[in-house]
Amino acid sequence: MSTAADTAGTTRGGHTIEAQALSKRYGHTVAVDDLSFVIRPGVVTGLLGPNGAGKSTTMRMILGLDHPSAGSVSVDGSSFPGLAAPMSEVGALLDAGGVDGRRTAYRHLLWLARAGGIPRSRVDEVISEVGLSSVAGKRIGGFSLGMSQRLGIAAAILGDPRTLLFDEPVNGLDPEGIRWVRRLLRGLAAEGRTVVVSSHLMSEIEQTADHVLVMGRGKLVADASIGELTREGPTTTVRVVSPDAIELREAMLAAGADVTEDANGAMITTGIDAAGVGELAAARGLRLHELTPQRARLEEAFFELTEGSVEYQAAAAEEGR
Amino acid sequence: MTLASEWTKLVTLRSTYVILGLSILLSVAVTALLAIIVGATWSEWTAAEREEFHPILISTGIGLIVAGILLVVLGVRTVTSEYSTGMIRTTLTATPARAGVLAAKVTVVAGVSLAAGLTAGVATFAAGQAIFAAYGLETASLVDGETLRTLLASSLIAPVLPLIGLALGFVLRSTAGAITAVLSLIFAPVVLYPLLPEWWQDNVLGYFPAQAGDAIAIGHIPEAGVTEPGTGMAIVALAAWLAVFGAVAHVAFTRRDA
Repeated sequence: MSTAADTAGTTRGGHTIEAQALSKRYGHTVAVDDLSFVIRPGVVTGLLGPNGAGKSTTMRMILGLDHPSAGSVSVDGSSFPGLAAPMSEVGALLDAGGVDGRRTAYRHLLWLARAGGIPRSRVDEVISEVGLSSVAGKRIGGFSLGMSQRLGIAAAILGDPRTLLFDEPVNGLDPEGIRWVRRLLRGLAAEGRTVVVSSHLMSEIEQTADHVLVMGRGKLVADASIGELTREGPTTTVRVVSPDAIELREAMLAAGADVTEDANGAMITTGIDAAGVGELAAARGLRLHELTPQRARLEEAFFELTEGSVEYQAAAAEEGR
Repeated sequence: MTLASEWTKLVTLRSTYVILGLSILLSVAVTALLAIIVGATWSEWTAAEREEFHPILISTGIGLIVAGILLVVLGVRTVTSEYSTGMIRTTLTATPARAGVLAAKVTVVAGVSLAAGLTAGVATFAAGQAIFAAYGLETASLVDGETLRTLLASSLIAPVLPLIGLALGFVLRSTAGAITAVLSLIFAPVVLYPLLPEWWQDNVLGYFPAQAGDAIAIGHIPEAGVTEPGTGMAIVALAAWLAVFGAVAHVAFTRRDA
């Protein structure tokens, strides 16, 4: 895949983005609440949370578009508006689109290029890279959501920036487009850039991000690698199949574990890990046919972490009807 | 680079050409209509009325107000269209120095208004004089000192109202709101004039932007009947209006969330 860095010839590492006690209030609504995190270059960092969790607000504060009510956020130690050549430092795709539908795609990218002192030839390059060559001369107002997303991505990579922020980039894209975005994000991170992608879809983050910041109601509820998040969830269970099930079950209950049975007759235990089950069985000379730690999927971890921090839950919505 | 970007934004919109074209066409049309009315009714004018006739006044009056209002729309829209589409966030991601964005928009709107004002001024002057000549009335020459001063002054003040519109665009973030506010500023003195005592007429209303602009553009022509303020004070007044609106726009733009 051809990426921005191929044309630039050099790849510069991304920035470190650091938030310290970052908060944003709109009137009485707290959008972001005492958020502290460090986002590092070279990996894709996912910003995961339900709608209204404060992901977009956080991105706008990183870009200096919204001013924090308290705390601060810095890009390599300084505020983003203070950077010398902003377009070659940070590129962003924001959720609202941020385009005037009366302009053609080419002309939208042209004014942006002029803003960064970027040559016209680079506009043609990014248009073909995102696959919009055939509609470059068409007005943006007539674009589908997927085409608008591609244009937004073209705008984000136009300046060949070291750091890229993508707010819900796969919205409206077809499956081929989604795969393309995933490859693009991974490629940009592999070149050493800082890549931040937000989504309310756990499955999307699971497939693109290396590291995840989980947000709920403006607060940071988890800051971990994908592996940690799916491995060490408090709901981790172990699937146990044994011909000596009755004895083993009693031993596990005695050890303080919970045991249930699944549809196939296997025991599902919580409160004890796979090694613990193996030790119990060995100590009593019980046979084990299957001993499988069940990794909590990110989706389950996400629900668990954001439970109670989701702004509107289904139950509350039902009551309101 | 911010300036090049703002210029590109302006010239890549069809509406820019529509507004500029209309401002010239409509100002010429209105001026021509007035001149025809003058020519056609001349035989009924009294001696005193004929004494007050001046060929420059008709051609730089109402017609240029029409052009001015369209240029206000242009000035307002350079800001409010970015807020209504959310494009302001794209702009500030590319060029986050807000004072620079404000300065670039001011420069572009001032330059375009100046050029459009000059074009409309020359075009309405030519149309007016041609029609007066056809009716056998007194005409003015383009190279006459009085004419040149009027055209130059009316072009130089042409950016004032569009720039006030631009500033109000940053404050109100609404096309309709900002245009209404500028129109109120233009017409409030006209409405208030008969209602207020003479002191107010001389010392307050004359310093409003449109009236101070008239004082600069046509105050030197005795037949115009503009007595207050003098050219110098009117220039000071316009500079003060621009400084105040510029400062308010700067505060609104830099302190508030985009």
